[in-house]
Amino acid sequence: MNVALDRSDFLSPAGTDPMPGACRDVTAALDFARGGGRTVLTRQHVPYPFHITRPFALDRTLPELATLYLQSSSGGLYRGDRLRLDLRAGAGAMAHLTSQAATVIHRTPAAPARLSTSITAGARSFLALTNDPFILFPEAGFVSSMEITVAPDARVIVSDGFASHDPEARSRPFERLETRTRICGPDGGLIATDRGSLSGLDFAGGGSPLGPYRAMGSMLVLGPRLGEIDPHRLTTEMEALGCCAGISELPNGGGLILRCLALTGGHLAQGMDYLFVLTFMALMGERPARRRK
Amino acid sequence: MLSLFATLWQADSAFPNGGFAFSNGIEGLADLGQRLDREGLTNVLAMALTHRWMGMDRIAVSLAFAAADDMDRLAEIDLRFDAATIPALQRAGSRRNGLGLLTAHARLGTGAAAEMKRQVETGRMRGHLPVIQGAVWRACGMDETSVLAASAYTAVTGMTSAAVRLSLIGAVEAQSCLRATLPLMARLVDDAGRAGPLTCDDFESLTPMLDIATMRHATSEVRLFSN
Repeated sequence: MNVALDRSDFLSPAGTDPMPGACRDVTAALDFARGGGRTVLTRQHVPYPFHITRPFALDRTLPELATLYLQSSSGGLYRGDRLRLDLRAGAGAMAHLTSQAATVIHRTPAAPARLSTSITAGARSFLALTNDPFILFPEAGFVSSMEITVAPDARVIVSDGFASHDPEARSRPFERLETRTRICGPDGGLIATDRGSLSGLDFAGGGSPLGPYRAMGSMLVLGPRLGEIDPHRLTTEMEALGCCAGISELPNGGGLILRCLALTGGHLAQGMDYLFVLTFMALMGERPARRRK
Repeated sequence: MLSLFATLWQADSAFPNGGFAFSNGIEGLADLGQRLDREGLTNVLAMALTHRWMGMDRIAVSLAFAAADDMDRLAEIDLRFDAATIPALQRAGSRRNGLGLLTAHARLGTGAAAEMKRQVETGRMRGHLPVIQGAVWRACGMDETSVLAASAYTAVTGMTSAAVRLSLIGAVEAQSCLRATLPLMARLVDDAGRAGPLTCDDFESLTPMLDIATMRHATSEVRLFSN
């Protein structure tokens, strides 16, 4: 199975490990605070392999919104990696973290790569994390965990997406994918959990839970909304992008979830970009500036 | 022998539990253009069992079976199941179907069904179907394996019945799909019996196509089934 990747600067030969035998156990942390009409980084701990750009003020009408590009400087995730990302937005802070390209999960024999993300959105804050899809190479195992804690008046957009790709075009499956998302209120009260696991064989098999599609993504939209998303417009415009999408209320009035399926990772990336525009407009009341990639 | 007869009784589509109103994603999949002939429907049944029932209903049924006399614990399982059921229409269908089963058993005087129904009516429980199945079917005299088998079987027959009523497949062909799915159901129930202790933290489901079908069904202008 081939996956068309429009943004794939992390692609490298399968199994190429920058540090053979090494399992990276690393935590990156970014704290955002509101000050002087802007959002500033009050803590920035970004060890290798994480890399972050400086904050950009891309949205003219929202100068307090800082947009940063999060990058991997090692060509993806490798066997035994345990990477953690801790994001915090203080009261009134507004930040959007996105990536510049898809992230490859290389083969991980007997030791899946793990990425654990913690997101804490304080009062009246806006925090968005919209990575391009993760691309699972043959024999890759990946565990993606997200713990989201959101104040009642905070706004949050979080997305994830997954596709597979065999650089040698031999249709070899990845090993296993596990996704775990937990959304809580500031008092620790559970709002929703969204967990799943799937082998590469099931992902691409005849009875795949993706149906005829081969890439999948989800987007969470939490917090008070200034506008609503028209589900009919959503499905029509996503179909024009080669995607099949749906939208639903989360349990316990927690917000919205959008699911997206696409034939390729490239289509998924385009679809998720469009979903970000729709959800940003619903939360913030205006269209976001283009995030150049 | 009582467990076998109780299982036949509860898995019978004639039992008035309101399940006829739910397609559990079949109508939505048809609207998406998914092929639901013999092979297509068999694949969908296998997918729903493997990637939804096994990680969600199976766990809730077993936990509720073990906690059948403990209303606080049943309420906890029920709320955790609710939080892990993502499409709103799927949550609503599971709750309505659970209340239907509970109402029938409350009228029959089964175990603590009447008390559980009060818990649902006062909002302490949401009343999700697998939680009600686990607790009420134990009171009917079914053993845990039979409860799991009946849960899997009724989940599948609900979907095949919906496919027939939507004229997506003929009645005999639907039975062919059902027969083809029996070995998988047997394996999953066996696997469930061999699995170690599970908790509400283990709830998981990965069925994006069914999720999207259910989500889009919520705004469909014409629909025969509730979900």
